[in-house]
Amino acid sequence: MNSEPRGAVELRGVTRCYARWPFGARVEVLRGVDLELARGATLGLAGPNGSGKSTLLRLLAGVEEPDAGLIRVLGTSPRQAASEDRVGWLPDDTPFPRDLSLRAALRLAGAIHGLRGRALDRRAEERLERVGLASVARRPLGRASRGMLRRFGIAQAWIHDPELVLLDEPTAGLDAEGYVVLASILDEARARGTTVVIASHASSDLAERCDSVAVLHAGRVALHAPPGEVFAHGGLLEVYRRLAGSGP
Amino acid sequence: MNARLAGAAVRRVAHPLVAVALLLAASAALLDGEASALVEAGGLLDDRLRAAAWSASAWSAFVVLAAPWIVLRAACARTRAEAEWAGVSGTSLARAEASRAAGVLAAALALAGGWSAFAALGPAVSGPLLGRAGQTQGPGSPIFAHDAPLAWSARAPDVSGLWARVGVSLSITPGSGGEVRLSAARGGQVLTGAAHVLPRGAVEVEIPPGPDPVRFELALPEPGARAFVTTGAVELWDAAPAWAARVRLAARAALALASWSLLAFGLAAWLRPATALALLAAVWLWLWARDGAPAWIPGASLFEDLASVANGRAPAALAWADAIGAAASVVLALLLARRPAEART
Repeated sequence: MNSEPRGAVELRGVTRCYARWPFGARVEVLRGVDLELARGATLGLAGPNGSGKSTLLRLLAGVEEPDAGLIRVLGTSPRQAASEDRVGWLPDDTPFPRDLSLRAALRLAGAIHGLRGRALDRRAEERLERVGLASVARRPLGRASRGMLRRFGIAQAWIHDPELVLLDEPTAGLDAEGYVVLASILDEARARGTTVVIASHASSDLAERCDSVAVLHAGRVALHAPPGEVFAHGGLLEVYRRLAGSGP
Repeated sequence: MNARLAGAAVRRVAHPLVAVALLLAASAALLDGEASALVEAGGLLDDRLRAAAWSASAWSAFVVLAAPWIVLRAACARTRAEAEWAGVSGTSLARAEASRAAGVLAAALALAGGWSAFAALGPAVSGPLLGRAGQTQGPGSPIFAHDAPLAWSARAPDVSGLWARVGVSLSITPGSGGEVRLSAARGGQVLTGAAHVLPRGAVEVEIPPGPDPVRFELALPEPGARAFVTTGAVELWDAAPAWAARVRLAARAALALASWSLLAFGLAAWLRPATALALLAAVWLWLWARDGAPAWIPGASLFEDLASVANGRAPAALAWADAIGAAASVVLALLLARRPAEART
């Protein structure tokens, strides 16, 4: 029997709960989520605030464990895939060391993914150039704008050429040039066969760059279809209204 | 070891806030050292007292004004979100935390080393001095009186120039002298020391050399006087070189700073950095207030060591117990730091 799954991402009945501190009731953020994503595909994740998009990405990154269900990433557990440096992650918050310069922080990101010496320095410079941050490479992250932090986040997610990239709100705070940079990086990723999952509130991000869009509602995948189908009757707001009207 | 993670931790500890605290401590030491020397020497500017006052002031300022900030910055060496982010990589949690801990350790030792260099700029003691040489058994009962002296036997090294010191507090003092006598008998030789302790102080006596146990006796010459021993054990002191006060205090302070910085770093995986610092400060104050804190706990004797230096003496040299205590701190810190990212609050 071949245990290698066909997809890059496979979720079966995934449930994730958070307990309110210290003895509060458990809140189910994700309830029995089923999802599959083929290798090399780009998946958009949509859903209102609190619908579980970031939680789903954290589960795929191996930062959190599901309370129930099965998650396979690149044919193995999320944590194993991450430990093999096959996953790149741009978190929603910007947890990067704010006291380091953009260059030093990117080199640090490369170093934790196993890059060393001149190869690391070259890769960091190349990525800084790619996202348009080479001219401000010496600026501390703490003094970078939100848009710059996002560009930095995109650069660090790709620093080690991962097979799967998880992007949480990559366009939040990006300027027009940043959009172009991200679009070209996503095009390159597609050409190289990299699998990408993007969580976003922007219909345009999802419609233009994704092969399929999964809409989370009430902790479940309420809709998973090509963008054309999801946005057939309007933008995300219309989608959410229709889902709210149909009930959980 | 990931050198860049370690480097980031060094940078995090060596925060501008720490530089400000060090400047403040240096200013306080420069002002306080001279003032203490003038007061203690009664204007005579005795070199030995001046050197002792300078060393004690410099290190007291460091311990009180700078060390807490360094420990706090050590607790800030990584954030929960940063740990999560770095965790999505081939760098294992153990390796990442060990690298950060190495950075914290290096930063703490470098800062303590830098402060040692600053303290070395002050006046130095010339000639030998007394240095702490451990302790031996104290009396079984703490109470003694004029008509009921306290006698006990204890083992002590067979060396010449060895002194015993016992802390005493008078509970009843009918006269104005407050005199306490301590005698030490060994191999047929008896030496006696006396001190006026009103109401609290210490009495010392030189211990005769010899292989036998020492017979100590505490006595009160004034009729009606009653007193009690304030130290659980008898402190032993012997001759130490002139550099001992400075070097031993620096080594003990560096060891304590490194250990407590690492513990703060480890605790910060479970608590907020400020809470971790508050917890450590509470434990440290408890150890300071408690008589006879275990010597192996790093920093437990730091205030006592500072008092020794202020009195023109040298603290005990680092021993195996100190190394074991420091090693235990490192192990505990690494175990605490290895809390999985998803469990962090």
